[in-house]
Parts: sequence; structure tokens; C-alpha cells
Amino acid sequence: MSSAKPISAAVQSAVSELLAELHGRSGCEKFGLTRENFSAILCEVAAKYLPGSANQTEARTFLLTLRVEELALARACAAGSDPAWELFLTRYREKLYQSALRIAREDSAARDLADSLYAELYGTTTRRDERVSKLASFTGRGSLEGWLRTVLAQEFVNRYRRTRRLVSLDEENEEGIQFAAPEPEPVPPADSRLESATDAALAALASEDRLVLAAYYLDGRTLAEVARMLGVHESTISRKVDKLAKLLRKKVVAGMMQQGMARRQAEEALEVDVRDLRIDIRASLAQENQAAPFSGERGGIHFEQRVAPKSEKLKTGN
Amino acid sequence: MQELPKIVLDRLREDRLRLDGVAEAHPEADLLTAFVEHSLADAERARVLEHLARCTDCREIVTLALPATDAVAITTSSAPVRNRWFNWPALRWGVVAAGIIAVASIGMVQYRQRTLKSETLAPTLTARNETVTTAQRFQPSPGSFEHQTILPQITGRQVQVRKKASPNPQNKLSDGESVGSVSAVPKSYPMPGGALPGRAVGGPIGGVAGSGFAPAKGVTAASAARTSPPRTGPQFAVPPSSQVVDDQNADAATVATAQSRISDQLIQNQKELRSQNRPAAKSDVVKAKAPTSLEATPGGASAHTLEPSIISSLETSSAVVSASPSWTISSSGVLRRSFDAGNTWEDVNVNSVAEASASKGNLAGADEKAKVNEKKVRKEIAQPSMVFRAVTALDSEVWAGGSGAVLYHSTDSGAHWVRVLPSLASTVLTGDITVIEFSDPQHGRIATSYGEVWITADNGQTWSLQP
Repeated sequence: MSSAKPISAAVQSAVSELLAELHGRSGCEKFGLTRENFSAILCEVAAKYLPGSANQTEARTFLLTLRVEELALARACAAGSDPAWELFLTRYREKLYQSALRIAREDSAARDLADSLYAELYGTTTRRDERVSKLASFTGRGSLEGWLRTVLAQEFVNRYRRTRRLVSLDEENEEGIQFAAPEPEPVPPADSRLESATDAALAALASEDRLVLAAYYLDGRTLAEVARMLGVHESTISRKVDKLAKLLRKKVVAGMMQQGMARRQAEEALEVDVRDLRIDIRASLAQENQAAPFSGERGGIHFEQRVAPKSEKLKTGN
Repeated sequence: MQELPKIVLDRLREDRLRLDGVAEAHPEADLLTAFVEHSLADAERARVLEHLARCTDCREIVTLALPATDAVAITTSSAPVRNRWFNWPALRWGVVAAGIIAVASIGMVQYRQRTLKSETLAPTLTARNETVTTAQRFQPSPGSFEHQTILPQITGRQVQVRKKASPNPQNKLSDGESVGSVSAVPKSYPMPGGALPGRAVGGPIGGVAGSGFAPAKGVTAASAARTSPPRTGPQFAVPPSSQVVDDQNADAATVATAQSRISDQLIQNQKELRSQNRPAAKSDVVKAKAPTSLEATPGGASAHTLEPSIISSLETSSAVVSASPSWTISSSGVLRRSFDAGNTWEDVNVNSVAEASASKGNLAGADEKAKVNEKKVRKEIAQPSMVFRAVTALDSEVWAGGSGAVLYHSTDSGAHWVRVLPSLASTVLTGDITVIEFSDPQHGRIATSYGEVWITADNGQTWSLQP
């Protein structure tokens, strides 16, 4: 919220132009938000997301896509308006708990998650003797309901990460099995030509394609989930994953051939992977765990020093 | 799904690590929400996509925060098993198989419907056919015209049904019923004295007597009961309403002629029954009953042509005497009534009551299958759109209303219906009728789903809107 960006003239004029309409739509009056309050909120939001170079038309379009009604409700709640809270609770209390249950998958954890979010929404954190509600950071880009779910999910993921750092090594190992998604597997020593060809092939992909591959292959998401994440049909994703996997294979082989490998050799190099090395690695992993039980890292990661050590440290420090 | 080479997966994962190295800020909850809801501008969307492609945590947040439309999909998705059913070949063959199944099932349904229809129609038609043959010996009544016209079309079917029915004693019973109703078809022959006890008996059989034209009812039920299987037999022993009826009937003279007619006819029916090789028990019932009705006949057996006036007088008398049925509405919005305090219910179709009751004669005592079939047929006849939600009855006055401003009024316990559309100046009743209340035949009120209340003080002639 503390976006110190200066508010450009284009934004200001767009806000003043649309203020009457947006103010009417938002139903601010019910919550005791004045026109001036609302104008300030709009300016703040626009300044936050619009590049400084945006002209008035862009600012206009942007303002019109905002969900002003929910924005007004959230900001009025943040300002402590009673009617706003009443409406917020009737609309979202049940949904919030349902979402928490879906995210945490367990009743008491869900209650916990929802309660902690409520505390943040009411604004328990004191900053300069002021209660700041998390709702003050809602900007109306998406729906308030979706925002609440996302905030819950963020809280859940943060918490999971926090607890992960505190649990004992044994538990962590179990957890690693349980939560397959962020499990970094040992990287086998690979041909440098293979690595560079793979990197090139991956870099050539669009970010959406990489997102699909990562979500499906790394996170173990279902096709349906990936599809909903991107807002497309499941069959589209199904075809896309299939196509991408074939394409990548072809490109990597082609990349290696460009570096002077024979096709056959390249194809073999692609197929020779951890599967052949795994047994060795598992065995050495066990030793590693015994040798360095307080490393604070996942067992496997340090074994292969090939994983960029700097990045790994940064990650755990998050 | 294609497997990715291990090296590709590893490099893909390292891609993420490199991002963490840069320590780029995660997108805010607002942007992630807007991303899923597709309300981001292209440039912003590209930025979020790029981040998501590299950041496991944000991907997880986005997935967790997906709306709950497919709650099931999400709970099951925690299993890392990948469904290989969505491979294209499987889908393709699945579509072909589904198509074949769809075509086959449609064909089956069509075929079944056709056979069902012919099966259900056949007994009815046979009954009518016989009716006509007996009825022709009498003065043709207005009611029998339709049967005569039907006759030529049905002879073929009739034979078929006979063949089918003969080995099965139950079917024979239903045949017997048909013959019973035969005598009823010359509807216009009045016989209050005989008819009314029959009516009393006929009611419990399955509400048969209650349906349809008032004058025909008594006769139908009486004869149906006589020819019907033993289960209706005991009820003959107690015909309490017959006395009441006899008392109430002043014009015994007209009754006499009519009754003699009917008894003549009954004897003929008996003959027919015997010639059709009825099971012994049943013929006994018929025999036993026939004399009683003969004794009850006060006058001679002179055959007279009936006059319309008699018919009408009978119509009124039987309508007055008939016990008021109880009314209800089924869960699917079908209007129903019962003449035996709710033991058996029959659907009432406000548009084709006459039709329904004409085929009713066969229903009493007929085997279950025939009943079910008949219901089906009637359902097809009934307007599907009519959904009743409220019904009220005061003696023979019945009001029934329902969805789409449907309001029907009957003054004769549901034999005849008139559609009523309450209106006041320019306003017309719209919406669904949810409540109907009548304190007496003149005064009533109707509440609609829109919260309007319409009032009448003159039996529904004029309406006013309660403020």
C-alpha cells in the first residue's frame, strides 16, 4: 500500500473523470466512504499498477476493470466501518472457512488458518499505533473472494514452509515423501552438451508452456488443475503436455547433434539418466544422512554439489 | 502421457532455483487472483506467467486458491497418480463407443414405447369394442359414438390381445372387467337406484367410479363390480349408500325403466361371460349378484327409449349423491383425488377427464401391469406443463391452481373443469398460485408466488386484488 509512486496527471484526470460513475457503482455511501476517500483509493491503486508512462485512455480502461464494489467494501472494512464488516461477514465468513478447509484439508488446521487470517483482516498488527488491516492491501484487481482464497493459500504455504524448518530431520524425511512437489532430487552428473542443449530447448519455450510442464511434471498436478489454473479446457492441456514433451525431446536431440553428436549418441545420452545411477545415489545418501545429521538441509541436496549452492541457500533463507 | 527425460525435468527444476537466486518478489495476492480470473492485461499476465513457470510456491498458492467448483477434483488430485485415460486414442474410441450406445439406447426406448402403447391401448379398445356390440342392441347413446368410430381400427388388435390374454387367468379378469364396463357404456341409461350402490362399491376398487362423467359412473361401477373378481365381492354385502340413495330418489318411475334395462343387459353380460369360459368362481359372483339387482327392480321390464330429460335428471341426482372425494397434489404437481379416504389415488387431468374416465372402466381389478401402462398413457395425454401447487374442495366445488397462473374450477367434484383467469382491470394474475382458500363456495382467496392475494366473493366470477 505504501506505494510511494507519484500519481501521474493522466491517472488523476482519468480518476476524476470516472469518479462519479465508479463511486456510484461502488456503493461507498453505505459504508461511509466519501467521494474523496474513494478517489484517493483509486489513485493509489492506479499508481501502483500502471506504468508511469500510461496515458489517460489506458488509465481509464484500467479503472473500469477494477471491481469497485468489492474494493469499496474491503477498504471500508479496513477503515473500521461497522456496516461494511457486517456485509463482509455475511458474504464471506462461510466461504472463507470452506476455502480454508479445502486448503488445509483438515478441520482444526482449517479453523486455525481461517482464524489467523481473520486476525490479520481485523488488523492486529500495530504499526505506528495504528491498526492496519490486511484488507487495506486489496486493490480490486480480482474478486474479493478469490483474493481471500489466495491470501489463505499464501498463509498456508508460508506456514508449511515455516514448520518445515522447525521439524526434526526424521520428520522432515517423512515429509519429503509426503509432499512430493518441492522435492529436489539429486542431479546426476550429465554431459555438458546435454545440459546446454536442454537449457536451450527449455529457454525457447514460452513461459506458459514451461508453467504447464512444471506444474504437471514437477508439482504432480492433475491436468484438470493445470487447466483451471490457466482457464482452458482440460483436453487442451492434455494435448499441450503431450506435444511439449515430444517437442522437447526432439529439440534436445537436435541441439546435441548441432554440437557434433551423432543422432544415436544423442538419443542415448538423453535416455541415460538417474535411473541407472539412482541405486548408487540412494546408498550414498543414507551414509550422508548419518554423517551429517545437523546439516539442516534435505539429505540429498548436498550430496551432489552440482546444485547451485548459492541459490539453495537463498531459497531456504526465504 | 509422455515421460520427460530426467535431464529435462532436472533442468526445469533448476530453472526455478535460478529464479530464487534472483530473489524476485512474488506477485501479490491481488495479481495472482486476477491471473486466475483472467482480468489481467497482457503484459501483466505475461509477467505473472513467467514467475509462475519458475516458482513452485506461487504455483502451489494458485492451485490451492482455485475456486471450489470442482472440490472433488482437488481432493483427489493430491494423489500423484496420473490418469492415463485422457490419452487421445482412449478418448477417441470412447467417443465412438458413447455414440453407439446413445443410438442404441434411443432405439430401444423408442421401440419399448411403441410396444407399450399398443399393449396398453389394446385391452381398452377391446373393452370398448365389446361395449359397442352390446350397446348397439340398445338405443345408441351420444357417448357411444366415439366407440363406434373406433371399432373398425381396433378389431385386428383385439384378436391379438385375446390370444395373448387367454392363457393367463389374470388377464381374463381384466377381460371380464371390460365386459363389465361394456354395460356401462350406454352411459345415458339412468339407473339411480342400482347405480348408486354400485358406486359405493365401485369407489374402493380403485376410484374407478369417481372418475369421469357423473351419470356414467354409477353404472360403470355397478356392473364392473358385479363382474369383477372376488375381492370386490365382500363389499357388496354392505351397500349402505343404496338405502340413502333410494330415499333420495323421488322419480322412481323413470328409474324403474332404466333399471330393468340394466338388468336385462346384465343378464346378457352374464351370458357373454359364460360363453367366454370365465373361471367358475367369478361366474358365481356374477350369478349371485344378478338376481339381487333383478329383485331390486321395481317395475316391469319394458324397453323404452330414454329421453334427454331423464338423463339430465339422473346426472344431477348422481352428482349430488356422490361422496365428495378427497383431493391432493402429488410431489410432481399432478392433481389427484381419492374416493376412499385416501387409500387409493387417481390422477386427474383437468383437460381430458372425460378421456381418462372412459378408459377407467377397465382399470378396476385389472392386473397391475395394465394399471401401470395406463398411467403411462395418461401421462402422455396429460399436459406436461401443468404443475399444480394448491387445491381446495368444498363439497363438490373444487379449485386447483399451480404454476404459471394455472387455475381450474370444478363444480362437480372434478368431472368437468373450467379454467379461470383472475383479472382486475388491466392486471391479470401471473406467477404461481401457492395457496387457495375458500371459506364458502362464494368467498375465497388465492395467494401467488409474487405475494399477490386475489379475492372473490362470487364464486370466482369477479376478482379483486388485496392491497
